[in-house]
Amino acid sequence: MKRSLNQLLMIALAFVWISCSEEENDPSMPKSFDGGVFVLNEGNFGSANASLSYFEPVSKKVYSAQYNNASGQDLGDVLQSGHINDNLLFLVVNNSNKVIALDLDNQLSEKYILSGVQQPRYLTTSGSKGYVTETVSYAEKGKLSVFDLTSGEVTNTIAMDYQPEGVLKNGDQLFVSNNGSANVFVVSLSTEEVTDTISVGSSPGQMVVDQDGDIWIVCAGGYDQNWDPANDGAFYEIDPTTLQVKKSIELGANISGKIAISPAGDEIYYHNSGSIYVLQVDAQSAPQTAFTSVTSFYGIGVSGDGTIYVADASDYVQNGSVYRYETNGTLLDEFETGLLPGGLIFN
Amino acid sequence: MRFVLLLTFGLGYGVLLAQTDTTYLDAVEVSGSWYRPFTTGTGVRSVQLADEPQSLDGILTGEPSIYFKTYGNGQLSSIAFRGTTAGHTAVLWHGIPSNYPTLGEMDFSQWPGWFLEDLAVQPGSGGALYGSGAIGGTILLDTDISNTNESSPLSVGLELGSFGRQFTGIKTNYEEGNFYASTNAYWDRLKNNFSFNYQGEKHVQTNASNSNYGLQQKVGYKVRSHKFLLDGMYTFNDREIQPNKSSLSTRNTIETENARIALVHNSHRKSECWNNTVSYLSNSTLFNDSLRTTSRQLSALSIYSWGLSDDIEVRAGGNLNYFEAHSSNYAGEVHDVQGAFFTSLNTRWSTFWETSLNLRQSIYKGRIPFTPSLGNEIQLIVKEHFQLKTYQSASYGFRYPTLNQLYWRPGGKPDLRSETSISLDAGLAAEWDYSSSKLTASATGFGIWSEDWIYWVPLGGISTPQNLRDVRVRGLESQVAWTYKGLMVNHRLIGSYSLNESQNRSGTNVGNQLIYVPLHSGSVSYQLAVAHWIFGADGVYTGRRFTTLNNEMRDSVEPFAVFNLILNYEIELGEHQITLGTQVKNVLNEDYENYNNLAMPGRNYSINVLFKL
Repeated sequence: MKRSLNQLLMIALAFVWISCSEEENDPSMPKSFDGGVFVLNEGNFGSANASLSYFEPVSKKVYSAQYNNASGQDLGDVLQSGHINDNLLFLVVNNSNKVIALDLDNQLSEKYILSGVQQPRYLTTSGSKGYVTETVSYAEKGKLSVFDLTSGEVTNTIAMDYQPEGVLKNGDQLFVSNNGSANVFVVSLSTEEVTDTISVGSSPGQMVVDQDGDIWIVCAGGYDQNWDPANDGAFYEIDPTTLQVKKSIELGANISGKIAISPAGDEIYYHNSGSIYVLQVDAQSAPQTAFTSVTSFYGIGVSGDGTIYVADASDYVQNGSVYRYETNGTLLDEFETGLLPGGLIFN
Repeated sequence: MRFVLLLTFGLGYGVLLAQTDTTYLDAVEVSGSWYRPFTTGTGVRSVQLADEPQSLDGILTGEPSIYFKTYGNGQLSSIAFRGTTAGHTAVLWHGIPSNYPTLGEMDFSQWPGWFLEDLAVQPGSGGALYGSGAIGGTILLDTDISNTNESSPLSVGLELGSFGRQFTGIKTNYEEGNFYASTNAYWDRLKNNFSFNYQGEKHVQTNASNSNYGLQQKVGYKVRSHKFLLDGMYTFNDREIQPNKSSLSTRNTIETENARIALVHNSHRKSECWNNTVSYLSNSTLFNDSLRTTSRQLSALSIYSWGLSDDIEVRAGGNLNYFEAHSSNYAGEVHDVQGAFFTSLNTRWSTFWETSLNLRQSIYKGRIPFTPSLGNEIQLIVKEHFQLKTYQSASYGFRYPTLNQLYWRPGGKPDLRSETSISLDAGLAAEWDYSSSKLTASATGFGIWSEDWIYWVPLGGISTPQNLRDVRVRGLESQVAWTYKGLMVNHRLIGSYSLNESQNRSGTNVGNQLIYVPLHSGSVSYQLAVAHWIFGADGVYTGRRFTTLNNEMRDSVEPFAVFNLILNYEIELGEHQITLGTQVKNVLNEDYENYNNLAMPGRNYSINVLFKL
């Protein structure tokens, strides 16, 4: 009997030892974050396993888990978006209800955390202030919080429509796309009040400014009562002076609400059913030929030199990839990211 | 003496409210359990129940070859057998497939142990005889309709525990001639305001309470060789979904209602036996008081058995399952029909050699998957004090796509293929018996080759399911149990160890371990019974679980070992029994997670009373 007990104990010890005998890698951080690309890895919803990767285009080196390395802490749940203003990197952590401000000049040390936000989505800055859209909840209207860039104190809250999403600064105005209300609010930076509402298509998402200073809004498209796609995805071009829709381009499909524009402001990159397309801003209709295909599209960005970065989230249970393309569509290379790479920020 | 006898059969009234106490019986066919497929080897393993105040996941935790992915304390708990996933486990209640048809899995935290009379686990694909899902294994609930005879007229169980746990359970039994009835009810609450450490700070869990209640009515009637049972249960679960450690202020709620009714008929005449079940199951969930999903299921199962001789038994039968579901994310109401015919043959070639063959022909959407299984068992040594047997089995398994995978809008794909598998296993089981001591040991090695696992993948803003992944599982299940039955003192010691190497075999990261599958897991439990006292100690070890297919340490959940202590005292008052119990859970105050970044409580306590009239 004693012998079998000893055997049992040995088995128990054996598997404890096996599982503890592996060692953890500690990837380093770059000396400087100048000229590189931050990849925002959203992570699995509910798992609080978001992470921040950094890619150096010259050395082609990838640094993973930069926030975790800098702070020794978890980043949080669902890294939705980010923004750079001077030396500040803002990370919008949606389901952790926080915005983290990090110092780019000081190894991503933490400046402050906005912890009072409710389901924050996107962020921009102007002068000494920051602006963050907040869903609050799907059952009620969202808001735009204004905060002081130095202190991180929220100074004002402006009521939005349902699910305020993208926020774009243009001149002395902010444009906020209300994803659940098919419109765009125009907010005066000086009075911090909503001055106009522009009706657009279903599910307006991100916005970019083209070569003529016009604002382009992607409308991802809605769903009918059977939850079939309404296939009414579209682009809206808005004159920022008159606030009139200059042009809309119907795509005949539901598309992603994430877009990017070329440095020259003449080409908009978007995703439609497994392919990336390039829309010329002076075109009257959607392009017919795809730029490239991508399996599990999750984000897109264009760097200052025109290189196109396409993020692929694989099947949600493994690290994603970013594919880099030249403007002519030639694949340059690819690098590995964290889980669900959803955003790209160019420093 | 009575106590000794009870312990002999693994019942042990003294452990009535012992939460982590589940005992093991030999794999024998129990009379009346006709829904159990023919198996050989370790086959179907009974888990003895004793007026359990905990839910099904708690009862099964520590069972070899099973891992529960639990989304927090008292939260959604999904089972995985042999390195597969919850969707690869069939759950059969009175022989009827009972996974929620929308999700294709069961939340084991919502099945009250208080309502269960009979529980068995069957690793491997043998359970595929009755339907979809049994790629990893099968859970058999209430397969036996004839075991209410020993019940007391009235049982009342109460438990008070840390973090606002309050449990009340009532059972009544009535028997008159050929008629019997039992009415069971329970009520269970948990505040779940435990404290935990996260990133160097102490926090108190918020938004994680739950409240459950349920009612069960059984009516049985015997006439000549026929037995009838009507079993109906309703459970209601109102739960705050425990937010992760980084999002404590997030509050989401889900209300779940389950109604299940089964009419069971069994007739037994000489060497023939006929069993029939018709059943209605409904499941309704309400997320954040706004998004409701409901499903209904009508099922029928019929099995006829003939004993052709003392050594040959043949069974034939069929089942038909109709599912319908409604959700604002479906286009109206969606339907699915699954049917099958099956036949089984069990042959005892000689006193030491037995073979079973199961053949199943499914009928599903014009496709006709054929899933046979074959088992073989040979007694190698049969001596007075020592027995050794070997067993082998080979089986096909499959899993139909779930209603969500087929019809969820947007993204669902009606043309998904079924997931399929081939499983092989082989093992040895030995038993030594010396006067008051008995030692059993078994080890089973297995392999599963499975294809077309369905995963959701992103597609530009929405997700869509695809037949994406091939998987190979290789593993080992082993268990050693020692019992000593003295005149005054009884000991029981059980240890188990499972190895599950569950590898991705397609796409990128080939060869890596699947997420949330611990490579190593094990459990140990010890029980000492002296006179009216029972002392128990048990522990569960769960190895590291990766949360991504990349298998990086950074994205993994740390291994943990959690130990519990139990002390019960039984008082006999004439014909009445009172059992007083106390329990310390997580004695070593292990700071652990079952699911990544979802907190679990440290050391906690409970006291309980069970009164049996």
